[in-house]
Amino acid sequence: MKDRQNNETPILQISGLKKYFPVRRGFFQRISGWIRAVDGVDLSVPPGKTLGLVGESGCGKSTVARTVLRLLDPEAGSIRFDGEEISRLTEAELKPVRRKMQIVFQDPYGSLNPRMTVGQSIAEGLRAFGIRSTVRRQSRTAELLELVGLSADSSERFPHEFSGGQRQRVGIARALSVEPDLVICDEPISALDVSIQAQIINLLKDLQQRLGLSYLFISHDLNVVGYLCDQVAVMYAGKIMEEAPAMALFEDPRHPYTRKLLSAIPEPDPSRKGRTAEAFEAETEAEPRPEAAPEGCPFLSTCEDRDARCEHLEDAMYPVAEGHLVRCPKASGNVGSEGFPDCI
Amino acid sequence: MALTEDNAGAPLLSVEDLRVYFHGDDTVSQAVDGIDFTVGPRETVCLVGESGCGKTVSALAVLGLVPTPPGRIVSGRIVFSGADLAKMKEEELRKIRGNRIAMVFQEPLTSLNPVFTVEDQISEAIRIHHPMSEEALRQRCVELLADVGISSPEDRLSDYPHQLSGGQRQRVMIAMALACDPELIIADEPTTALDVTVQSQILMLFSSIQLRRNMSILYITHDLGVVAGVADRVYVMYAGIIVEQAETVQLFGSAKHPYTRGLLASLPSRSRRGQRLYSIPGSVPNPARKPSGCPFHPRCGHAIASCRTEYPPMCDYGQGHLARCPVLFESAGRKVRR
Repeated sequence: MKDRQNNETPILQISGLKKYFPVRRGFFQRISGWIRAVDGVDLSVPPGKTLGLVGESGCGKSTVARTVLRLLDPEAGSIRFDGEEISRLTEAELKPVRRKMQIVFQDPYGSLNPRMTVGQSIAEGLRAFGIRSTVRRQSRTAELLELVGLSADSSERFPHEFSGGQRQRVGIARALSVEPDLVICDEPISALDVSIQAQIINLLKDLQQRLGLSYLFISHDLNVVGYLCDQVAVMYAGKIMEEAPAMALFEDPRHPYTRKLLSAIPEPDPSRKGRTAEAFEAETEAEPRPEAAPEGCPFLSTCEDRDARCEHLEDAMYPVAEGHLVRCPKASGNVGSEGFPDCI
Repeated sequence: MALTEDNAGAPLLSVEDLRVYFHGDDTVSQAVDGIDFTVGPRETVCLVGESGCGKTVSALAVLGLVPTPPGRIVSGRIVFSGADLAKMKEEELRKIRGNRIAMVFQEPLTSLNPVFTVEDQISEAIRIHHPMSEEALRQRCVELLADVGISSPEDRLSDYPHQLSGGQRQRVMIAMALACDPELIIADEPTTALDVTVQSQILMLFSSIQLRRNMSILYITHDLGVVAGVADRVYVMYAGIIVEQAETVQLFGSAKHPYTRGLLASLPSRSRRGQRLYSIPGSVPNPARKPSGCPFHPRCGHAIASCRTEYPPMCDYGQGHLARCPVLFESAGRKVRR
């Protein structure tokens, strides 16, 4: 991990990324405020590695994915793909870049056209990127289906003829058809049956090894993220609260939110039953409101460790160890002379 | 079937040989195909399985809520504190439903009525089963909301479902279920639509309510992590039948059925980093085209010729641990009584 970071440019590097959505009210639909869905996010995916982006619904993780793919236009910030700044490119300029980054969606049924055979769906991407010969498209489609563990003759069948796991394989084949370097996986297994999830996880891992893919893996399932990812970023209310190598994050979580999230993982171990009892006797849940809290720590209202300084928290990440950053000066552990450590 | 409760008394709910079939144009889906389970007093029992295994249909059958047609309860006894619900008339069943047995559904936003306030919806069941004055009714709603951990319940009474967060909606659903002090709550994937932190709050809420009210809970889920967190006993369902039943610790410690073992081995976790995950080959069978013999045999690494033709008997490992796999039972040096 370390040598790669030093020697190679990250496949994806985003910094200061912001995406706001307007809140419209009244008869004239005047803009009355902004939802800060993504509010200054820095992330980096090294080549051949997997960055996990975790958080609860509404934290902005899917908006990050969509903005990186330029399906949404960012308000501010930079998105560098393989060293090239893409946040201001026009649609035409984007086309060659799009080929290099693909997405696998959560719901494999909703993201495949029910009127097209699987073969047609996969070939669509090939045609769009300039493979004109039908024969070549067909042979490439067969190759791709085999790559994801489906028989080549499934190209004649329609999505409804496949099970959920098989459809997700088709979704992956489709993403891989244009030979991307980066695949953004947006909750790729959460719609699948338990006995099928492991098949898809294994497939994603195999493909990464064989093709040298990089993944931005978006999920709310911390067990999967802990298994699959090299580096993990925890997102809350549009901001990254903590980022660390996967093992460090699970073994030494620093941010109060990360700790809360980790203690809530339902682990298949009955000896943990009731272990989190005290932690969650809390009467009501406070949820992040992306509209509010322009200043201070976004986790302020729920945090048990808060004090007056948290209301005027600098917008900064504090280092804990190499590759481990946390958006909480107290939690970083290296408190400086004035109570706050040096931020980076 | 052997009684598996620690406490000697009769189970609160006992389901025997339940079969629910769905009739299509030219197919019959055997959604639930002969299951037996019991829920003891003050016990939390999990039915766990993947989509289409029949766990939700089993729960609906208990309450007489299977849509008929196309569904039909083909056979089975559903004995709830001495009375067979399967034989009851609709009017009699209505006195039990929402009153002595209540249900909590997966998706609170679709199961709450968007045009009624929280108070209307909680008080509905009380009005029907235990009529009382408006004043007392309001008081009862406030108590129930406080009971499920909703802050300033008086202010929430006049809220509509869309004004609540996902976790609060599920709390309201639970308050509705508790309204008539039921003896049994059936919770069908109550936390599947929720975030993990909210899920763990709701799970805690279930266990604290159960302790305070001495209820039984039949909990339906596909998530083995949730099972480990809530259940006293577990029934594992596959393709309409129960393939294994055991106390939770037993099940997670020494699963006896190849399907349960496969599921447990396939769970990703950080302790399995770097290892390849075990994965059960193939996919869940279509309920209308179930394999012959043991329905798991096409995906099973232990299958022998007889698995293809013979319906597997329940094999008793003792202490309430049963598994429907004679192959592993015999390889453990035990004799199958057929």
